[in-house]
Amino acid sequence: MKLLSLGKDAFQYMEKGFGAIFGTQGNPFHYLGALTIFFFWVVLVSGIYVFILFETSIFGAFDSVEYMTHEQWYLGGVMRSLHRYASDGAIITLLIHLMGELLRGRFSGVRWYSWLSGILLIWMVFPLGITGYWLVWDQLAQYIAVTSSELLDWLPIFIEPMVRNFISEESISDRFFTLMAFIHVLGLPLFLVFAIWFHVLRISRPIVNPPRALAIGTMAMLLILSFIKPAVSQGPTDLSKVTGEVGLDWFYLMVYPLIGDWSMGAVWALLFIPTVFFCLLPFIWPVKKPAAAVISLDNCNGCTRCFEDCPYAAVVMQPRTDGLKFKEEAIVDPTLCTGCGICVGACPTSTPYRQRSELIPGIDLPDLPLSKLREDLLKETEKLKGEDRVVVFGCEHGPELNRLKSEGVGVIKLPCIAMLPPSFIDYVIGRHHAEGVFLTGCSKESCFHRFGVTWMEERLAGERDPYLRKRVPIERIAKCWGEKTPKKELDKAIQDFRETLHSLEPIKTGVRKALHSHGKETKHGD
Amino acid sequence: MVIKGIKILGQLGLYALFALVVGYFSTEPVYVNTTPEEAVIRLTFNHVGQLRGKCRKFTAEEIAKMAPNMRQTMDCPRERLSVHVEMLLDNKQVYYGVVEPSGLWKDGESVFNQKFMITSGRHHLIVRMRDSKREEGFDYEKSEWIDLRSRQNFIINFIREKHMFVFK
Repeated sequence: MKLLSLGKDAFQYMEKGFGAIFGTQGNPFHYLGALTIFFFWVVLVSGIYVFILFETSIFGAFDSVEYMTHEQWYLGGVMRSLHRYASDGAIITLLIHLMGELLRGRFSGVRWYSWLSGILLIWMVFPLGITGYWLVWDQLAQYIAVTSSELLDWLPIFIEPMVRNFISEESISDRFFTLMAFIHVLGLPLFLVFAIWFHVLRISRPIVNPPRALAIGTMAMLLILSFIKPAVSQGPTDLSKVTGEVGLDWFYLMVYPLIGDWSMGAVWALLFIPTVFFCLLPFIWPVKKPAAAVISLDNCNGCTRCFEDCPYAAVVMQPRTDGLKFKEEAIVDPTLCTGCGICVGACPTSTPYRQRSELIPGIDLPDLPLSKLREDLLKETEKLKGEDRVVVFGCEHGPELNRLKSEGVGVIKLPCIAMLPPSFIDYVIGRHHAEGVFLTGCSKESCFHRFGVTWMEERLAGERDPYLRKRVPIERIAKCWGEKTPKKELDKAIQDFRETLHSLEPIKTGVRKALHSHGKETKHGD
Repeated sequence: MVIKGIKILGQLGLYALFALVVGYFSTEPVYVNTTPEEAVIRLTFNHVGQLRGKCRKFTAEEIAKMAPNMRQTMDCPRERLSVHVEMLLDNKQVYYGVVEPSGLWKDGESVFNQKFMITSGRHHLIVRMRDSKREEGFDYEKSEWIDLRSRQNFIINFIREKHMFVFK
């Protein structure tokens, strides 16, 4: 556990470092999955061109690849190099993506589906790369053909050893080579496209494209590398000899040297045991699953805001079942709900002003109902003293919050910052429960619940329902995003904010009165 | 302005680092599969051992018990014998093994494939095989002086039709 925590810290510091250089909008660490898909597109497009020049025959393959590499180096050669380097780049981003999701604990609960499909995707990506090298039919291909066959022959699936196809010139078969080309060119890519679709199927608004600047930078990098170090073949095959020195592509063939040194059983164990472990991880890792959000149909007007904002597609709309005049009603799929509370923050009925009737919004969290949130807020603010009182609303995946508590600072912890309805900010400031509101949580692009910070920012800016009312003095709201914000930086941000509050004109009583009267009238929405 | 310049330089540096990692590990470090002093002898064959038992005639009683449309006169067991194989190099045994017949009923071919890393140069090679019920000795043998070239892929095959080993 300690190792995982250290790994998570290291990963987040690296992420922060990249963010400082690329900016939060273009940080590659926030687009690792999208970058992998981008590399895949480059591989696909370059592969189509390479295939046009490629002769799908064991007797003509090597010469056709040599032609495109040397005679048509300016296009065919570049395409071949792009094909190789984009494939290699995909392995790097894919493995960092995997590591990041593992270290941040994004594999359990409702995320098991994306995790499991991601692990199975790896088992398509590696054979795709390996069969690609096979098709060049050079010395490296000979080494791969013989070694892969020996590895596969260990499994009790072939009666005739596959390796016998590659022991002499007479034994090689054009038919087998064509099969390999079919697997590489059509079979595996087709499965891969479907697998990527499955991988993102159960999340809403999946990010499948990197930002334009990052895509352009990555493409330029691949092109320059293709010109500086073009991909070349390693001499024609000679089956009368065993391969000597081969330049391995270590991204795809890292296990191959072990095939000669270890027993085949040990190599298969090395491949299968981690795969099985990672596949089972979401089911064996102890995880506390919060109760799923529940709908209160009496308070739901079918506005679709929870449906729009849910990052896990756990809320769906269906025709009204209770005879009320509204068209639709929301329902929650408990198997997809993470209990992040973003839907509660999006609901127009989530308003703390409601006093006459019980505070039950259209959608609520059983583990942290909105009425309890208001109760906790009032208890917390009651204790605060001074003329610069601040309530910190923070998410449980952001910086440590409890240590921030002081005489003038109260803390309210939420599963996600977007669970906070903007009306609560209005309520805190307007009702003079505190002079200011400080919001903190994950960084925008690596938000644990994907869009929490984004939705919150948009609500504050008046770009997303429910808006923060314009009457709320914006200078009384401060924000600090980033789970790795250093303690000193966070302390200083709060201290500076309190000093700013101190220097502001006090909120006029008249405004407060206006807010009071509005609050009493509000039943549905703020 | 200065900060923006530093950021751009940083981005260029990280792109270059990524390209360096991709460019280098796509072919380097070179892996030595076999050294120039080595060669490979690959012993490989598909061979059916002899039948484990002889055919016998069913008795009249046994035939009478059979369904009328399934009646036959001979009982021929399908099972094959295991194949024993031995390889000696310079009069030292480098391999001895028993290869079981394939198939659920053990009635298929005995399939064998194994490679041996050998120092290149001149060697005396003997290969033997037994596919019969005999308990000692071998049914087939080939012995020859061979000159293994550097990194040669030397194949020993058994030609079933000719009942003999072939060196290549």
